[in-house]
Amino acid sequence: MKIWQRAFMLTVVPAATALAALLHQPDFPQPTPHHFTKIDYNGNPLPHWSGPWACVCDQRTGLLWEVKTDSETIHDGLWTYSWYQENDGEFVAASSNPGTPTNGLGRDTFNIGTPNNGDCYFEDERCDTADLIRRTRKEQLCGEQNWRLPTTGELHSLVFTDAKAGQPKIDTAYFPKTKRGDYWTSEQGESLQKVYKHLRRGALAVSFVDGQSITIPHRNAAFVRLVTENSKSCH
Amino acid sequence: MKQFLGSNHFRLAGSASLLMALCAADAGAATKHHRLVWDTDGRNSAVIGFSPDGSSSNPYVSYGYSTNEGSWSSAGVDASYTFDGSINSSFVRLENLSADSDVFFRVCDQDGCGDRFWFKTAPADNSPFVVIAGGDTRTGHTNRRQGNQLLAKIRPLAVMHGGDFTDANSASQMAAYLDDWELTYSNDQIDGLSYKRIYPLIPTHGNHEDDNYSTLCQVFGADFNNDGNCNPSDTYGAVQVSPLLRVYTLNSQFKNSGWSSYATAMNNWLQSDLASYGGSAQWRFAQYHKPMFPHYTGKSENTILHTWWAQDFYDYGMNLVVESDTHMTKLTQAVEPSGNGFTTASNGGTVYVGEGSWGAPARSANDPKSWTIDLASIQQFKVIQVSPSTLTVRTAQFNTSAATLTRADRAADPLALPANVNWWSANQVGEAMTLTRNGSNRSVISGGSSSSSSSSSSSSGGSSSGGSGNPTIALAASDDVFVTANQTGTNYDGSNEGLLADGADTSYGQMMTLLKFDLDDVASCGNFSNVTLEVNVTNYSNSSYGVFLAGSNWQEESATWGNIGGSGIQGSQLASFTPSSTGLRQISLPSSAVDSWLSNGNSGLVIASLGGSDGVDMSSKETGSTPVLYVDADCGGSSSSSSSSSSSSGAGSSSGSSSSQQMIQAASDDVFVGSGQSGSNFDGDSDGLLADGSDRQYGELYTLVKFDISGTENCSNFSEATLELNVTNRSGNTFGFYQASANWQEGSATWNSVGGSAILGNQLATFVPNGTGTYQVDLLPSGIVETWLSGSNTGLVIAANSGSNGVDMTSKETGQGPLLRLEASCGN
Repeated sequence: MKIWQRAFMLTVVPAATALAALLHQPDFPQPTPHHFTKIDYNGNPLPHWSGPWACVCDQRTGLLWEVKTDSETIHDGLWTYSWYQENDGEFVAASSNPGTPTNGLGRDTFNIGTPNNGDCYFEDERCDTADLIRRTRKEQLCGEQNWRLPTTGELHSLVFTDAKAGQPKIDTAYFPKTKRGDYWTSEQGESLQKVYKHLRRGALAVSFVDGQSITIPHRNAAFVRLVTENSKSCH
Repeated sequence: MKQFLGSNHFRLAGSASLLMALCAADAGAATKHHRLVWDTDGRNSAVIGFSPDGSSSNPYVSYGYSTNEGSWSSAGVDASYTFDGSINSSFVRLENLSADSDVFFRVCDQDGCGDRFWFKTAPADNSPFVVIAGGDTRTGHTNRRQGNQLLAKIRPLAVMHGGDFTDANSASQMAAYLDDWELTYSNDQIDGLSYKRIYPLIPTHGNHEDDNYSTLCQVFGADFNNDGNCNPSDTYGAVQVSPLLRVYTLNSQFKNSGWSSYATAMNNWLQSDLASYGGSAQWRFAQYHKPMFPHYTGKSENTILHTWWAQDFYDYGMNLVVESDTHMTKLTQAVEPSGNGFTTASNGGTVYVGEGSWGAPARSANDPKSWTIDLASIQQFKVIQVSPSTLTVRTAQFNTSAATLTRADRAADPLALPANVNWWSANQVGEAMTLTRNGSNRSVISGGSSSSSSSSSSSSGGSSSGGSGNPTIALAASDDVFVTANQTGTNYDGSNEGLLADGADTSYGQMMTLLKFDLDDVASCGNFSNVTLEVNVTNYSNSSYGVFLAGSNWQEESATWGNIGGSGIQGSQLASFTPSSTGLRQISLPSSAVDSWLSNGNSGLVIASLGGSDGVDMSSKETGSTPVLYVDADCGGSSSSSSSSSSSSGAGSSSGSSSSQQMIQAASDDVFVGSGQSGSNFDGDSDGLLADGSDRQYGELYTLVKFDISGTENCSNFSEATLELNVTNRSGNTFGFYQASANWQEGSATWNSVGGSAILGNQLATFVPNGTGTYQVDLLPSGIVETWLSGSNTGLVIAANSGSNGVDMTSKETGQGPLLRLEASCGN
């Protein structure tokens, strides 16, 4: 090897390698942004490493979320619910044909959905979304009374795409006891397809298996995570 | 069985110890959690298991075939196991039992004998029976208990459990499960004594038993391979229930890492057993825990199970597979393997049902397949009526509404089901899915949605008694309906009353049942013999009934007393019978009946009273066991084709003389339009036909209907013009029938194109559809048919006169479309 070749190998090649490594240096791993705040049962914020917590405040959206448990209370993560909305005013008997939307006026003079087709153990009958909403409001979970089903957009804001394989697509450090399954949204009246087409319309859910939304019949037993806005502890 | 006293011939007890025990018989044994298991042959063996309730020493089982305990034999404990360190169980295996017999027993120990139990061994012949199949009892005690209580009301012959008995497979949870299992006992008073009927369980290993692959033998005494050992090999095996049914129990958890050698052994055994013994029963069931293709996106597909079993299931005619684990209900089409999945079989396959929700919280039924019939998130188990020619599968939802079958009810009818069970109604199928078998013994869904399914099947059993040497072919009814003289225009197809016949019913008047069988599978056959009609009598009569050839053709979906010509449809009488008891009844018919149908047209049969007013009720293909025609035939090895004889009413049929004709015309065009989607055409929409004053989604809704009445130009003097509609969603509001003011076509009609409310012409009639079912609207007074014949046939519009509660009707695409019934004098 000639001298200039030796010099080339000893200087230029290492320099080029170092330069390439510098240019292609991967981004430093970013920690999960701490936009969540744990809230205790009475509505008080907790440090990130503390517990137990009953709700989570998402500082990005200002939404306060119910946290699921394995306590066999109304917030147990195993419980499932059919989608059912009770009229706020007068009571009208539910459809005798569950899952068949009521033909009616373009206003909520009728109950919508299928009552009592999920499984929780705090109701005499089986369970629906109205049961959980009614009880959570009465309980004033985290000091709030306006608990409701989230919209699809609100629920999508919790989807955590970097979840470990096989885990639900959510930050389980803040939202434990979340299941790989469908979580109801407030959006209903969507047309059903394929096998379910005869049921005409259902409601939207977000699957925390893949983070996608799906239209399923009101009669399906899906999970629920309630939300409230303009809360005292998250605004 | 350790037969330490007596034998199966019931000798009197002879030992001092037994005499002492008998003297203290009512002192009560210190045992609890009695369970009964079938793991070999339900006709002649059973395993009785129990646990000490306090201090129990030297327990044994005293048993016999009557309540006279002096005639009983005794059997000692064959095996004892401890589960999870603290549940001690003793198991007594009874063998050489008499088939189809009531077996009474008590568990005895040093304190005497405990509660009185009885169970029934399986029949050794083709007698029908009911079995229950479900799984996932691991959590949800309220639902689990409701299911157990419902089981006690149904009184099945046996129970298949698909695994996941408990959540943690711990001693405490298993004890709670066994506590709850006691709710399945049915209470009986027999000869003045209190007995509990106990039901044999066929258990399955689920994933919640994975911490102990010996759970089935430790808790239930299952010893499928009959080797006397308790180990993971006792998680799979076959139970010969009777000549009708062989149940295969498999362990899907052998797919887990570390169990491959067991999986290989199991799968080799399965194939071998299917090949050797699969044909020993007319029906084959399989149960295992994990579905091949869960109907829930939160569960992974278990394609390895498909690889292991699906082809064998198809090849060896596995008729019904019960899966668990997912906590929902599903029914599938009869399917066959295709690549890594399934496809709907055009002519027979395997039907998969499931998926385990006997307490465990229901999950979102969100992953239907192309071959799924229906699915839902409910608490349920399957109730299956097993008879020689048909399986009827129902899904029982858990609540307290069901009536209770008594011991006498069950003894009178082995297929009886309690009233008011909260049956799940599956789309397309309804509450009952009936299966028959094709020539390869694969399942065919009868009357279901498999458009190409044949309704006929071949019996492998060759149950004919004539010894003709020809195979017996079982033809399930393709059409069955009854008609009534008091409701001459009403069609009762699919009525929940089943099939009725009577000389003079107080409500219906004279009634006749019409039956028809698809003969495609015997069209190329000859030498017919041993022709037998089988019907399932649900309400007996001591009157005589005749079986007649039908003199003219009819269709089940349109037949009424009026349009078949009343009793004039009765042709030659073929046979008579007196249905003096409930249950399956066979009636021999002359073989010439089949020849006649093949030669002169197949109009089927009529069952009509030969006098008297004591009516007979029979189940229809919609309500239970389908009527079946058995035929021995020489088919020369020709393969059968699969086709359906069901016909459409669309062509319009006529009967009667040239002077007076009755005609039924199906709608040529039917569609709805909505103001809220004013540019949309809804022809063929799955919603059917809608009318409403103000619907949330569609706005104001009109239904448009038109009939092609060409061919009636030479008719006049109309004496009937009746519009018939099938209402599926009722309304208490009034709806008007209007002459359409302008022409339209179903393929293009929209709210805008018909001019919205401008389409409403003269009002012709009104109706209030305040119930579901068939409605008839008299259009005769309006003279609309004559108007149409004059050249301005623009059809009808159905619109709400007031209110916002809409009515839904079936269209010709979604069910029975609108019909027009006409009667008039017509020239040639």
